[in-house]
Amino acid sequence: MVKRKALGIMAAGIMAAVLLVGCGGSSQSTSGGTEAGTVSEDGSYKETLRIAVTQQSPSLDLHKNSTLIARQMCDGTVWEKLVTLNGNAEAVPELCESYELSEDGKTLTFVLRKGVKFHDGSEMTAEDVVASMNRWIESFSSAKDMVGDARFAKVDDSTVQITTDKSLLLLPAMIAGAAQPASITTAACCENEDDNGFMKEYIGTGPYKFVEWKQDQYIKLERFDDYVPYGTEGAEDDGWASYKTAPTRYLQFDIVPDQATETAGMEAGQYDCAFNISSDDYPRLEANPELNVYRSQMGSVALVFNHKQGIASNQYFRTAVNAAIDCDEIMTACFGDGYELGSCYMDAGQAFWNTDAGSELYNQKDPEKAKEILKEGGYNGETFTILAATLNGMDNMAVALQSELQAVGINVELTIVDWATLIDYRNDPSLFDMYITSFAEVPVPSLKLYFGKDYPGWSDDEKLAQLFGEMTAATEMDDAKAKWEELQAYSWDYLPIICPGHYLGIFAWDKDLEGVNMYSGGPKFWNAAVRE
Amino acid sequence: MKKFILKRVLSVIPVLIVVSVVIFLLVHLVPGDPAAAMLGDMASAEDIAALRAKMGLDRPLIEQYFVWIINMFRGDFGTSVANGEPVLSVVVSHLMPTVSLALYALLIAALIAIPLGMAAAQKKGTAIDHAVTVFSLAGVSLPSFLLGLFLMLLFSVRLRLFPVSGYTEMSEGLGQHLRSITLPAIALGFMNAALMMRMTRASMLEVLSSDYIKMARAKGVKEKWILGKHAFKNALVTVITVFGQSIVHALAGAAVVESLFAIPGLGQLMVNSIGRRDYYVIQAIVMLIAVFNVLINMLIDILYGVVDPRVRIR
Repeated sequence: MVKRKALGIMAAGIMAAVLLVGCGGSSQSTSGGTEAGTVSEDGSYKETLRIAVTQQSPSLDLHKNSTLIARQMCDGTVWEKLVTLNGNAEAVPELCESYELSEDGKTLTFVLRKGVKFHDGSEMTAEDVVASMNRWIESFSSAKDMVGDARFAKVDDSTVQITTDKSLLLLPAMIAGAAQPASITTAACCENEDDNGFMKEYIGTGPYKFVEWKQDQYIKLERFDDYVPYGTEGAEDDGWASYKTAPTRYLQFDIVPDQATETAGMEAGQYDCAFNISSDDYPRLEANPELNVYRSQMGSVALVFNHKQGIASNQYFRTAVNAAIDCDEIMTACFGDGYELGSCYMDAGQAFWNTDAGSELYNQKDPEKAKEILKEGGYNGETFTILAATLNGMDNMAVALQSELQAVGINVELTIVDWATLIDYRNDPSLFDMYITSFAEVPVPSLKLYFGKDYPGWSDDEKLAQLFGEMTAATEMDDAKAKWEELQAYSWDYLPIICPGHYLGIFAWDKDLEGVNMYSGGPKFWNAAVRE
Repeated sequence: MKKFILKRVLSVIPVLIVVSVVIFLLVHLVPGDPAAAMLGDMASAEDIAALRAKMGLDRPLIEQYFVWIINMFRGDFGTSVANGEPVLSVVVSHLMPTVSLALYALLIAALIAIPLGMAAAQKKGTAIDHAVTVFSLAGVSLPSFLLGLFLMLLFSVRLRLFPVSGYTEMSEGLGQHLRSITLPAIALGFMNAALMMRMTRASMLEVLSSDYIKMARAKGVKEKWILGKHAFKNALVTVITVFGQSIVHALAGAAVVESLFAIPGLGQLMVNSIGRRDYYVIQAIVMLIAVFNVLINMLIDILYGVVDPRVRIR
């Protein structure tokens, strides 16, 4: 009897202790000890905006790092560029007053804005811009391919210029929106690198300055009080071109690796916004009256053929695979309903480049036609190896693809690995016939790496290279667009890749969060604030 | 006793040498390239090759191994590819959350398991015994992430008593610190509690059926003295073993719980480091866990000798 009572007391004690610990302290602040819940000077907004993200980047040095999450956190917020993208995906001035392309398209000149301050208090100079732009070119292979050996040079204290022997028509858009943004930093920062070659300090010109990075916990940005906005006060955002006011004192990006935890954190009110919500949780969050849920195209999927060796190096085989595929089915296997079909390699955000050229060969889902092509081509049961990673459900797509291709008589084998292994294996042409990957949005088609013969997949076709060269050599945008349409139509015939569709990113935020910029690539917070 | 301890300490050295070789080979033979993982999908082959050379990954494997070992003896565990910081400081900064979480989990586990295990043994065949058996079966069967999710939905989303995720350091206040790790500690401790409970019960049953306990009862010694002083002390050898294993298990197995609750501990660091092939960090963590495992086992061996003198003679 005494023992039973003791057990009861012990159990009650443990429960009480747990509840006591739970009741102690506020229900807001956890990691980092920031004072979420306190108000800004005008008493109406939270001082800290907390954003849950599932990934973290190796570095915030965007010259050398192409991870999406680093761009989402810092591009336009900490870092700014000479030009940025407007709502039509055109390059418009950001840190420059104006820019000009010479008539022959081979000289690009930027006139810099005066009085722009870096986060260390120094003023932006032509030397800083030249050092930053040249470091970006050295670090970003697509830029290097475009400009060759040419580099930026100072013309005078407020002018920088680059001259090449090729057209630079697409360079401004590349500077404005490439996956490795051409961020402007100080010349000293460009030199000050760590053992891995990344910048040691993050000193930009944006409305927020970098404050702290606690590995696996959070990244914290603070409003830069000396920031001078550009543009027209009160004007609505035009793409990323925006009059930035930084109404929130701190932006804190909390690293939350598990999507289920992110969702629970939004429901509990711990976070004001969450990135990369699972499509399984989408209906639940959408039904929550306290939250806004937003879906937007984030990029496209690519089924990349091995053109160097193996069965997929045969044109007839690639054509048969393309004829057999039901894009709806394989996209559903991977993304649930979080995708949109579309034959254009460019995403919806790049309206100027959108085209339906070649769409008659997209999503044919015609097994009989595929069987016929295989028969005519002399297919003899050779193994077709699909390489896929266990990342974001790509392995599920591989399984769906296997099922569709087996139905037309193709002998399919799957190699499922983690992402780090895939990016290693894809360099060895003996290990795969097709691999599955995805590409984030890019501002110009010349940044689609799979057109290059050195990119794993090794598309090596004379006509493809010629059309690509003509597009990048154009000196007028309309000419470039016409060449892109030709290239896109030819691509659905030659098949460097199959693009089965475009995936959507899902973002959720508190109904009281205002001023989020959703132009492209996920939310941007330079004008965002949460009402108390 | 000194000779006994010295023998145990010396036996650890060859184990650690073998462990270091196995860890190094495993990490380096797994496909994947830290330079490629670090630079991202858009990096060119030349940039990746340049970074590999900078990291010393283009050198022969055997040279890399000896460089690693020699540098380790100098206190240099290498540089993390994730952020360019020294591995030692990265590991140390992630060690405290895991140690804190593991100790809290074990405290919860011990507080639940030992009294319940003893009660079940004393009341063998009764409802209490059956309840304890069901509880321990549930504990062993229930995955920690599932229990964690349940706790999160109940105590964080519904009742809003605890944060959903995140970690508060002890320097910001003990209350806030405990609050941030209570749910993960329960999720992690539950399985250990189940194991500990089963072992305590089994061990106590064995001791309670021995002749000297019967003799004590026949002499009229009070039941609480029999249980607390005579039986529990002898059952303690098994409980110590399980407790030691539980510490290692909690340290090494915290990855899932840490990931779920966004606790920046060694487990999460390990998972992230594998994803980005951060060789030096992976090697340091596995080495740390291996050393800890070996030391705990050594300590348990020595404790056996203290608790039971027959072990020393053998």
